[in-house]
Amino acid sequence: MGIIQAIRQIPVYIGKNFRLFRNQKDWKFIIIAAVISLLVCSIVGEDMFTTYEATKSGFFAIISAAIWIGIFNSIQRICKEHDTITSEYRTGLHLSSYILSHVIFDFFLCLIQTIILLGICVWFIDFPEKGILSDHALPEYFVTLFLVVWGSDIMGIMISSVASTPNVAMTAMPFVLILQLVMSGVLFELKGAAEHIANITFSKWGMSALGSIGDLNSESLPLKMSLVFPQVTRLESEAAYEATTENLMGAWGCMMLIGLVCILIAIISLKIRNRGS
Amino acid sequence: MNGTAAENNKTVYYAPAPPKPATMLILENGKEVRVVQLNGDMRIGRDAPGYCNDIKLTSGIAGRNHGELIYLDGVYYYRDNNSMNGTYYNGAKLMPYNEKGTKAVPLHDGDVLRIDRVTLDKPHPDAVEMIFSTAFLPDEKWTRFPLNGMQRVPVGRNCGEGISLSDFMVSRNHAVLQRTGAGWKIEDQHSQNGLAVNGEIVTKEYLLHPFDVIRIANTTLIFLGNEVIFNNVSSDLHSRAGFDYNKRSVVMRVNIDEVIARRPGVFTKKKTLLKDISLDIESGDFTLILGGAGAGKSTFIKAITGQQRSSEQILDIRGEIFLDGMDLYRNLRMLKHKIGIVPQYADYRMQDTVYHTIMDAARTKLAGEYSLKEIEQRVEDVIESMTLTQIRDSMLGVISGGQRKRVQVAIHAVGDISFFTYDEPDSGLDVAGRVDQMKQLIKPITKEESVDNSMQLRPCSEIGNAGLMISHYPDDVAHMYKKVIVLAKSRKDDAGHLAFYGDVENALSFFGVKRLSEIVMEINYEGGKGRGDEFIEKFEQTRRG
Repeated sequence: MGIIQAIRQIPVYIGKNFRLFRNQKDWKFIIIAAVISLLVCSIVGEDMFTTYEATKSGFFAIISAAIWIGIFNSIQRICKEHDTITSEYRTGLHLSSYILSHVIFDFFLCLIQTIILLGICVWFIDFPEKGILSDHALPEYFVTLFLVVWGSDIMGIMISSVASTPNVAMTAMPFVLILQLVMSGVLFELKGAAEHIANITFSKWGMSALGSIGDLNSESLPLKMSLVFPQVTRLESEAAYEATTENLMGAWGCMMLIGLVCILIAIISLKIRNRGS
Repeated sequence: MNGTAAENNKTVYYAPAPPKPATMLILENGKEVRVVQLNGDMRIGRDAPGYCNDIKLTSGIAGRNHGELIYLDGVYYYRDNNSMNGTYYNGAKLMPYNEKGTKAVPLHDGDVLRIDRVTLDKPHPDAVEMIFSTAFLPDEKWTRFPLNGMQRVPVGRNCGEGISLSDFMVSRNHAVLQRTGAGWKIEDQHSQNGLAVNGEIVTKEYLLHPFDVIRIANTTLIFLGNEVIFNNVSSDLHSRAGFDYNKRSVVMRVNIDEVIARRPGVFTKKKTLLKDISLDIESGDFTLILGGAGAGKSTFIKAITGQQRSSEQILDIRGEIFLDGMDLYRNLRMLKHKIGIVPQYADYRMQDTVYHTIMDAARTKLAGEYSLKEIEQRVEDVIESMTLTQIRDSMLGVISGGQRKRVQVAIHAVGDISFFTYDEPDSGLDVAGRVDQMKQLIKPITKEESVDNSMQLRPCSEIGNAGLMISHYPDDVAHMYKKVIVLAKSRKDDAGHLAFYGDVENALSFFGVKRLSEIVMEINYEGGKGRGDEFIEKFEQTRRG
């Protein structure tokens, strides 16, 4: 009784998620992802990898789009089913199976969305070929963007599990997005408590990974001012964007860890909600 | 009390309740295990000419007039008639009290009576053990499984070796009995529905003692030290076996002292919603719950189905509720799967089909234990029995509210549900719709008149299910209800009390009305005759006899 039964329930609910995805026309999330990617890349694409500022802003816009795509996939999904979950929980549903089925189903949804996002990025942006781990940067960009999209999706699942209604979840969404954008470290310099809070955001680690792969510290990406005043140079490089394997793997690892914590919070919140029911 | 009431009820109503469907499981050396239905006062003794014993024993150490069972006010008592070898009651010998016999001891579920000669440490080979129970079915086939010379005994569904059970809710490799230095222990083998010993869920293993009762799905196994006896409840995924109402057993035992509600939060006010409700719900019973506004009908259903918490309120339930002989709240994790709740306003995934909704419920409960083909067959059977065939591929969003309720029942019916509750499933329907709806909804529990007029049930297994329904249109299908629970709000404490529990005819007679809906008018304080307290008191007196 327990783990084996819980594992058996996961494919049942993945199948249910797929049918609902099809019947509720949730494929519109894929189209929305394409539209957002197109919009962002068409604006930032031309200036990417010309200057430090343009490249950093471009990465920030892409990360913001990825977070938005991920959260929007799932933010309303659990909370609108709370009563149904309670009913099914009473008849034997394992809440961990339920959450994991969403996480696994969304793995594939996010995979498709990331392919579209990166495809459009490649269409508009001339990425340098060389990466950190290999001579090809695109797989590294792909993994980074996928982790941001999927991680944000899981964060959406967590918020949706905690929220009592879709209205509450949608009210929380702008706050979460703003927090992610502010904590990326791009718009403002983070100090004190903010620096610690930033460690639990996908935006910070996503930016760190993209900045590393794109080598934002490279002298080949001059400051805008340097184009006019060549004597102006960057005094010191940013540690977050160091183009090292450790830095990239660390950023990926942190995103996976945050995702795992979000899954645990989602399961625990559903267990609390359904205790004694 | 108004004048009319006094004129209509000059005497205290008394409707003697029939004896409870209790049984005595009899174990005699070398004999088959017998389950004898108790039927009021009965004599126990060795079969001998000139003695008319109701429970005949063959053991040489049992007296010809050994003891007797006495049924009084809903309770069975046992008295030893000063027999030569005496009787042990749960291990303690009953001592002579007067010239007739020992003091009469009340019998409760699981109480063991033993006829033995010397001491319990050295049992006589012809010792007789008798176990009192309201959970066993009379004439049930029990099997002995000797443990002598064995080290490890697997327990599972049709497992071939070891204790092989036929109940479809038992896993193929459900549990293992293992001999250890300290004795026999039982281990759960990650089974789907778990196991309980003496009413407590066993998460891993449990060291067994003689007379420990093991529950695996619907099967009861009793460990006797050197053997295990079990009632091999036979059920399969497509069972259409009948149910004999005369062999019914207690599905749920309710002894609520108080139900107190409070809103979630720290400093919230408490309010007593229900008080002093005691009743037994038996298999095959379809029971109507009647009551005025605020009498606590929905609270009662929530309390007996383990729904302690909701976003609106938290219920503090003081008292005991037993389902299938196990404490509901102590074993809620296991027992909640046996309760089917059909709420007034259920939430569904509107964009899923009827078939897939039921199929997923079946796979959630049965996957791994049964092949996909078997599960599909089970689902098709349930769809057919709930007359959902025509809409099997329709989305839940496009079918009627009544059909959705039937889907809800079907979701529960694919599993091992022994107790259903329905909260106003007939609201918003016209008369014809209500009657049709009721007929469909209660299929998993109701009895149908067969050609030979014997009561037949169409349950998921051989064991009859039970159901409770709140309805504001009770007269549409009054003939379908076996019993009626009437809850009335008392003006004394503003809480709901039991104002009646019994069959429909007695209910009409008790309240002096011709139709069930008139009962609500009698007890309601708002818009009714306001006789709630009068009937609460009257019923209490009736119970006391």
